[in-house]
Amino acid sequence: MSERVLLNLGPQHPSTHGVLRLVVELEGERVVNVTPVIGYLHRGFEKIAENRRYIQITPLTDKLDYVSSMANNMAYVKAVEELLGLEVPERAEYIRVIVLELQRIASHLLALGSIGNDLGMPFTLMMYTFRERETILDLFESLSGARLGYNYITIGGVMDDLPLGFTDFTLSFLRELRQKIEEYEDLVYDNEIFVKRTEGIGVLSPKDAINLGATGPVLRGSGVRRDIRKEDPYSIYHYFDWRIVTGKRGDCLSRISVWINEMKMSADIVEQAIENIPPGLFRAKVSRVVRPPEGEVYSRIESPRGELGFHIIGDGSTHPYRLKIRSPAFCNLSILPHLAKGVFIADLIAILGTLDPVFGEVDR
Amino acid sequence: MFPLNLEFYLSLLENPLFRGLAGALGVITVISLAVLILIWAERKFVARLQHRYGPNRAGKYGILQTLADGLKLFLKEDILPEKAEKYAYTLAPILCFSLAMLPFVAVPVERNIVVANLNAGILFILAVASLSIIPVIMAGWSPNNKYNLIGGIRSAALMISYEIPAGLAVIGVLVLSGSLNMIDIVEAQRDGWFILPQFLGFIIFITVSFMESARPPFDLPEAESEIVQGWTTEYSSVKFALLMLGEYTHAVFTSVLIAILYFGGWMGPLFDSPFWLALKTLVIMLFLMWVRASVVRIRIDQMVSFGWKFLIPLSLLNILIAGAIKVF
Amino acid sequence: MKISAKTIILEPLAVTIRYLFKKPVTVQYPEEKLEISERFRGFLSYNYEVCTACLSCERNCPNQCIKIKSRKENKKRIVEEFLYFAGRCMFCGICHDVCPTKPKSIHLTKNYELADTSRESLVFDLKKFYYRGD
Repeated sequence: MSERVLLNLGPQHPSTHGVLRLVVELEGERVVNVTPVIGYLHRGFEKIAENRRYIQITPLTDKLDYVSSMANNMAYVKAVEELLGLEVPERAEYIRVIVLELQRIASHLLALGSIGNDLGMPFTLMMYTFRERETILDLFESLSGARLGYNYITIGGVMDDLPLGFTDFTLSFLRELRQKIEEYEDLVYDNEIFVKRTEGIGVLSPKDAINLGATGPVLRGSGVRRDIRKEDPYSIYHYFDWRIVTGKRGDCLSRISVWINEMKMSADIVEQAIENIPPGLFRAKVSRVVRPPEGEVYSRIESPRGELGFHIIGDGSTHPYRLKIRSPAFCNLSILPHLAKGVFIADLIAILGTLDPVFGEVDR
Repeated sequence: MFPLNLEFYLSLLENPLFRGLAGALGVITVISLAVLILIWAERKFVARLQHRYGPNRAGKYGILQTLADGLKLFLKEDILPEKAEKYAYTLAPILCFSLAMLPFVAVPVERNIVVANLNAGILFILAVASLSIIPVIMAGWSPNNKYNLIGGIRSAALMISYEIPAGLAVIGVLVLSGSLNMIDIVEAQRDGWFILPQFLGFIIFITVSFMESARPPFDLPEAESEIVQGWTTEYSSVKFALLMLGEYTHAVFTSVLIAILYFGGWMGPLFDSPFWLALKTLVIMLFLMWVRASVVRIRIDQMVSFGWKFLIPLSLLNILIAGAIKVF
Repeated sequence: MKISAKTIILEPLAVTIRYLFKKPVTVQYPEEKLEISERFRGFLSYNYEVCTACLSCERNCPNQCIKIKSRKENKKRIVEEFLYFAGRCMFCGICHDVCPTKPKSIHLTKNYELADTSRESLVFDLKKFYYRGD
């Protein structure tokens, strides 16, 4: 009876969030060992970046974590600005914060919809959350001109100013969002089967989370209060009044509750930013040919998945010498073998869903 | 060639073999038609619950969508995996479809319209419904594929959890009606549908019917997000169509059974007619679809413990209640 | 095992049934189309009368979608051919951003229905395009 079976949850699968291959060793219905095999979406991003100018790399960073493009843009642009020693005008910083927090809401909506799909509620939760995400994508389209690969945050500020009516529309959308979040909470917390499928599954203790290098909602779901926006503040997050959101038990349900509560916190931040936005320039004057001095920088931001870091080594020319990306989904995915010892297959899928990998970022 | 006098044909009508064949043909046609229409209704209804349209391109309101899907499946390549057990692999879909239709011959649609009026009707029906696990296990084992195997074994585990509560819940109804004959069970509901005295039994039986027809939240054998297509993974083309139709027919059958056992079958406010039976079945099927759109899948160990630790004690309690009602 | 009928089944049912009576949110393409904003980045449009053939767009395009052939004529450069490889373009808008002329010679229009049957048909000579009055 204790015969081990090797099951291949192949790259084409209805619910690994992208192209991931999991080689699962099963004993009955219990998982003994799981090995993720990645690389099916590798596009050689870091090598391509060595042959492009700094301004040409910005739209390429959009395609890394294609679900939250603004965060990728911001991480890269912040690194280049640190290399250049550039000062960004204050209005641009406010617009950046608004856009980043709206992007966080959109990304968590997608994660919530996907976990509903994985657990067996076909498309219901996904349709509801995607309806809100569509409104955010429409907002971003009126701002930047594209729905998914924005190329909006650039070196020196943002590409274009806020259009007319943007602030009013955003405020009304956020009011509606709070009501809809209550609806999602009903479908999640008040649904006994959902709770039984996610409570106590995939428990990550705080010590393990820190030692294994988890960041983002995975880390905060275990109760550790660490957020780069408070630890290593960038942009103007210290102007606003907000708190770090943590979960209680470190299981799947805590991570899902971190997503939901972070959405509410982001909505608060956006409202505060819209009220206090000053007039001014939206982009600093940058020479068309960006030639940073020789140097190296590692800069990181809190993307919706965790700590996204860019390490750039410049050699004084218009092309970077080396560009390395620290991707949060990659580091969070490496926790999967540790969490998946002794669970059922059904739980494996639930745990993978709450780790929230996006394969554009894992494979680059 | 054929004798043309009227008496021959009238005598045919009395011939039991002829009546049996005609009845079987009638059952197959009516049920197939009903299943095709219900599949379309399910897709539209579940879509509306999810705030979207359903299929609306194939024919007006997408009515021809089921036909289009069936046609597509028929035109696909029929595969036979190399290391599969040939005979079990081919036999499983055929058995699935036919065993799903078989219980309908004992189901009466009106006081005098039934293909086979068996005195132990309900016993026959439950027995044949239990047989429907055989093609599932055959389909799980024969293609020599791990996904199929996991689905088939889960189905077997599901079955041991629901069979006992199903039988026990039906015993509650039998206590109140006093006979195993299906027609008598419906006639005994003249004074009040069995749902009122047997509400607990109804709850148990409807939960069991979810498990029996592998509908969400108990759709582990074909859990799409974990094991691709579950126990039907290696099947394609006509065999797959037969398996799917057989499963859906099973769901329709459990709804009909609930309508007869608990909701008074063909009895209506003004007159008795098979139309009421169809309407009640439709309402129960709509409830099944509604639940499908709203809940997540339950896990296998939770489901087995649910069946044994919760449903069986409750159904024993239900029998006690039925006995008490009958006595007082 | 604590089970309450309300949470196990009634609450989710109550949430979903409300949507049965609302109008669905899907947009039936191609009969209905989504509204596009003013800043939408679609197909390129090129104005060769304002262009000074500085080749900034060609040099700064991340995917090398633009190829310009120009010649010098009395101290001014005029453009002979402006090849635009629409199949490679990712509509990022950098060519529009770095164009130095006022008003800009490159704009991105709202046209996104660009599907075609072969790769070669996606190469456009935008100088002729403009000249034809498109």
